[in-house]
Amino acid sequence: MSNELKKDWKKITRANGFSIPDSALDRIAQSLDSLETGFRPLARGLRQENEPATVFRCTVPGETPGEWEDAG
Amino acid sequence: MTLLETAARLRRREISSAELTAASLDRIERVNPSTNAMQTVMAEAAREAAIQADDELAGGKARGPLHGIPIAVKDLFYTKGVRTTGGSSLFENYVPDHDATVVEWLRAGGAVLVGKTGMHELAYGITSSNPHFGAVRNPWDRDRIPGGSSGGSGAAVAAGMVAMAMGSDTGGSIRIPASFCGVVGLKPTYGRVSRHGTMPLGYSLDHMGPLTRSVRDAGAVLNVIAGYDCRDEASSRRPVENYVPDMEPAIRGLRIGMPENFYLDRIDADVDTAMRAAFHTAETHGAEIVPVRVPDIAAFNTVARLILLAEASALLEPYLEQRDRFGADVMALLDQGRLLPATDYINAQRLRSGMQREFAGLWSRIDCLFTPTTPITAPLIGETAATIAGESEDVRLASTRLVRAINLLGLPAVSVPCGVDRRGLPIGLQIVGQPFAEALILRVAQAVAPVEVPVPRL
Repeated sequence: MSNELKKDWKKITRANGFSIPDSALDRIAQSLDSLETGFRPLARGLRQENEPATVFRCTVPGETPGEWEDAG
Repeated sequence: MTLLETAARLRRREISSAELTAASLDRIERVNPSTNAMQTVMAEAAREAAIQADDELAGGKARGPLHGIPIAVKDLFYTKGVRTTGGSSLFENYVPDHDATVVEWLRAGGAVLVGKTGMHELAYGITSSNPHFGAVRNPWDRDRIPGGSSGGSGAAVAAGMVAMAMGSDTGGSIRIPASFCGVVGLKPTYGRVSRHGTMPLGYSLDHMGPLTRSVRDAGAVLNVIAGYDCRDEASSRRPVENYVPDMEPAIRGLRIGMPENFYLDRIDADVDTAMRAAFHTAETHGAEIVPVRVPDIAAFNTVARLILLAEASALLEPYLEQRDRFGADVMALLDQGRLLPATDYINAQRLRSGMQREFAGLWSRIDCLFTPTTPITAPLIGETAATIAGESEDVRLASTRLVRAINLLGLPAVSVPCGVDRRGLPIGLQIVGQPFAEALILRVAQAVAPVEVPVPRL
C-alpha cells in the first residue's frame, strides 16, 4: 500500500450516488483498507492468460449448460 | 440413537414414525425456548407426513434410510406453503410455491420435515444472533453462540431435536456451527448438491449440506441429496456413489496431510492438543501422516472475502436503500461490497482459477488434509474479539479463517467433533478432500470419530 494512494471511501460513495451515511463508512473503512492491502499485490501478479473462474457458456435454447460434458 | 440406527428400528417396526415425530416435537417444545434453534415448527404437517410414512412401511414400501425420520432444514430452503425468511425481515412473509430440490428429494426419501431452523440474517455471518428472530443459543452453553450461519441447524441437532438438519455454507456456515455445537457438518463439493430453491448469498460460493450426530448419518443423507439437477446451473453430472462408510473403515496407507504452515499456526492450546490427538488416532489406524506446506491461505481468504462481498451486495442491491431492514453487521458487509469496483471482482475470479490449480498440487502427495475447523471454541454471545495464543482477533475473522478458502476452492470438507476444551466446549476437526472425494473424507472421518456425539443435558 505504501506506493499507492489510499482510497477515499466517502468520495467513492458520493460519486456512485450511494446513500451510505458517513458514520457507517467510518465503521467499514478499516475493513476495506485491509482488504485493499491484501488484494492489491495479488491482483498485480495477474497475467493476461489468467481467466476468471466464472465462465459464460453458450447454449442453444432448451439445452442445459454442461449437457455435453463428460460425466467422468 | 443415530439416524441409521433409528431407521433400522423403523424398518423392524419396533418404533413408528408417528412416535418418533411426537418425540421430536416434544423435545422441540421443551428445549426450543432456551435455544431458539427452531424458527418455524411444522407440527401438523409433520404428524400427517409421519402417519403416511408409517402407512407406507406397513404396506411394505420403504423409501430408504430417511423414511419416517424427523428432520429440519435451515430457513433458507424453500418449502412449499411454509414461510421461508432467510433470517431476514425483508422476507418475513415470503411463502414459496415450491420446494427446494433438496427438500423435494428429502421428502421423496420419506423424511418427515418438522421445522425450519434459525440462522444468521441472510446467512451472512457466523453468530446466528439474529436481530429479527432472536439469538440462537449453543446447547452446550446457552450464553454462547452456536456458530453460523446455520446456527439453528447445529443447535437443533446438538440438542437432540432432530437427527439431521440441512445447512448451507458460503464461508464456513455448516462447518463452524458443527465445530461449536459438537456435531458433524458436511460441505460437499461445489455442484454435488443442488442449490435450486435456496436463498443465495454468494452464487459461486454457496454449498448445501447436512449436520448430523454421526459421520455415517451424514453419508446417508448425502446419498439422498447428491446428484445432478438441471435446475442448478452449477450442478455436476458426475455419478454419485455410496457415501456411508463402514462402521470400522480401513484407512491403512491413506496419506493424511499435516499442515506445516497456516492452519496450526495460531490456534487455542486446547484445539492444538485435540489436533495432535486426531493425527495420532489416524496414525494408529495405519494412516500415513505427511507434513505439507499449504499455499498462502491468507491470500485465498482475501480473494474469497472479496468475491463474497461483491456477489452478496449485487444480489441484495434492490433492497439496500432499506437500511433499517438489516442488522448492523450485515449492513456493514453489504456497504463494503457496493464500494468494490467490478474490476476487483473479475480479478478475484481470475486469481481463484490460479489458486485452484496451486492447491490441487497437494493431491499428488496426500489423500486428505486435517485442519482445525475453528481456532477457538464457541465464543460468548456478544463477544466480538477472541484472544488466541496471546493475540486479540475479531471473532468473525477468527471463526472463518480456517474454513473460508475451502469454499473458494469448492472442495468437500467435513467437520467432526474431536474433543472438548477446558470448559467442556466442543472442538472440531476439519477433513478436506479433493473434488468429489466425499466418500473418502467420510471414511477417514468415521475412522477418527466413529461414535455418535452426545446430547447435552438441557
